[in-house]
Amino acid sequence: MKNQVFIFLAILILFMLPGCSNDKEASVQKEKKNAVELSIAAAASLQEAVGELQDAFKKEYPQVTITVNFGSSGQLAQQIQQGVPVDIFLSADQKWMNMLEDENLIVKETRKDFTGNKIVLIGEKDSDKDFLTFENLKGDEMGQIAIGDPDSVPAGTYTKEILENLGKWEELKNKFVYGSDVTQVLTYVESGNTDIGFVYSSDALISEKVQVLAEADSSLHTPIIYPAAVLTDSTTQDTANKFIEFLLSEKAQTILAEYGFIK
Amino acid sequence: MDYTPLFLSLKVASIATIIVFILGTFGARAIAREDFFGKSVLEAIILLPLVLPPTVVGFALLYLFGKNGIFGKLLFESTNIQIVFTLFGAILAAIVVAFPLMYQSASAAFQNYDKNIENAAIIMGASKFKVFWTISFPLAWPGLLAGVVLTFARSLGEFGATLMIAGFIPGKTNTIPVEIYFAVQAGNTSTASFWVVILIVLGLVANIWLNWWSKRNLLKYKTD
Amino acid sequence: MLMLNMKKQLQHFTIQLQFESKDDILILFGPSGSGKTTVLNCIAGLDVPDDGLIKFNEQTFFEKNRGVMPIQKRKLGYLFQDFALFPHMTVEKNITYAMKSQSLVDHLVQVIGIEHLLKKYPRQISGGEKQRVALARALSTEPQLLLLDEPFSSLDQFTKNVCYEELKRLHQLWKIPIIMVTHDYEEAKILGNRILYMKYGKLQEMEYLNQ
Repeated sequence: MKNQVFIFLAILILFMLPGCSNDKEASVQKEKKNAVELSIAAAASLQEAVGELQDAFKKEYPQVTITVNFGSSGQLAQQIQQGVPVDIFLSADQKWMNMLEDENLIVKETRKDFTGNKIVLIGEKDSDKDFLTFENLKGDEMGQIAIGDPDSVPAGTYTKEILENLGKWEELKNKFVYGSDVTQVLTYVESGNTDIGFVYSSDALISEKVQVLAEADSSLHTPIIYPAAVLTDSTTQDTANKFIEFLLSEKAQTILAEYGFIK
Repeated sequence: MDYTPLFLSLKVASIATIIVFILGTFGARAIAREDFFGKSVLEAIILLPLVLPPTVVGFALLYLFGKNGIFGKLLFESTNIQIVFTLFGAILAAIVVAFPLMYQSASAAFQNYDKNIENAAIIMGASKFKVFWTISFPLAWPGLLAGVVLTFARSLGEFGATLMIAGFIPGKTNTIPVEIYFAVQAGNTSTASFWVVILIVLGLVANIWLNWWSKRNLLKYKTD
Repeated sequence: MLMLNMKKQLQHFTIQLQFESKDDILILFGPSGSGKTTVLNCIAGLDVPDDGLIKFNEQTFFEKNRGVMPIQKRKLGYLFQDFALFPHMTVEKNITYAMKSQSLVDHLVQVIGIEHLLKKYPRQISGGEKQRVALARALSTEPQLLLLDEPFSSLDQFTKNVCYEELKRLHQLWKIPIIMVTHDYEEAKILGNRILYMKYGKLQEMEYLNQ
């Protein structure tokens, strides 16, 4: 009986050995050999655009396989803080990138602003509220309003800024339903459970069930800039850098514009 | 420290537990010991929320009880009560996910004693009402209590479905689990940790109390 | 007087039985699985025949297509095989659960000899004591008919003998018709005035004794 246990353990260990080799070594070797895996953490608002960007990148660099993890910028930044292995971070605002930079988790020289966005006011597809603008929102005439949680969702943070600058934040505050990400905000508006919502212009394009009622005056908020950077712990920094350069190329910028992003 | 999440959570969990206790006890009593056509299908439906991810349950609730949902519309038009984005939604979510637990406990509890004990009472002339209150309920009580505690705990910790249908509205629907989630999202680790500890304490207290209570009372109901 | 004429389809055979009983101790005797308990349960109302007629004096307990009298109204006493005492109540509460009169209960308790058990719980008393408590409880409602389902099978021989005497004595005293199920021949012979031998749900033979 004891013998069997030993043999079992020995076989188990033998199976584990190959996996134990130094990962860093292995991927750097791989990079040189040309088969590369890139893992990207991208803000949820980039979800639709990233698919096409991936394909375009692969045309130029066919040996690269890309996996993307989407989430709210805040969530992703914290995951990275906790050591989740990722090569590139595409954030929807500067705040979270700054946090990572302060902790030396990104390679400073690789940080580039690659695109931007606008905040829009959306309503259901056949909403009768198309007279609404940011400026004429009145608290007591509204039903509930969907907004990303300003503390963790960049679109929400910017919206708060806009509304505060318009002096409307306090007035509208008790109508807000906070979504954990933009997708939730879209769902609430799409299903008619809230009258209106605030999302990025790029988000509004995703859903066929919502319409843009108004655009925010960009002077009312800090510019919405999406930074990208390579993570210090990345084992494929060369390729990661190439991806970021690609994002700045005309090709990528055209794709992004199609999806509602602005430079 | 704003203690709203604590009050909201306790409110939701208490109300949900009372409703689930009543529905689960009577439901189990009516269904569990009978044999009828379609019984297994019915029980499978009852247990469905246990199997589905809470978010899916939340979506279903949103679809049915949202502003454009069949029940949501009906309810709003007749009673002006809105389910979605209110504490009612949170209570509904808690009821739906906890009900299977109570049903299972009650079901087992009512099958845990000799049926002849009830028959003896009936033959002696006791009405169905009297039999339930003097025989069935006391004998099932230990199992029912276990169900109650499970229900309370599940209601306290319910998150996924609650988030979908009640949403995160600070001051109105931010139960403890929802508060924790958004605190983590925003990087507020100290707030998150605080509420995690509270939740653990509440769970432990409920559990310890149950153990103490049942030890004290189970002896009385020992059936040999 | 109990008048029974019933037919009931069971898994392996059909019960077909007919008899009348005034104030006898009537024994339904036969091997396990011969349908005896089912017959008893049909009289009690815990089960329902497929066809036939069960009457007690002027009351119709069961008539095909005419309905079933609710169990509570039949005014019966039933002694289950495992006694089915209420485990969460004292002996006293068990016996007085549905009593008609306190004086009757006091009398029963005295006659059956269980005063010393009144404050105890069922789990605290012996098998023989449980049987006597169950008997007192069944009689406390002044039933017009007493049904017994192998009530002595779990007792040792010594206790059995004591119980036999008790039952016979109470039968003399109360003149209440008794129908008892057993698979113990000795027991049947000691207690019964009439023994109905049953096999596969049907009457094989009837024996008169102890008249």
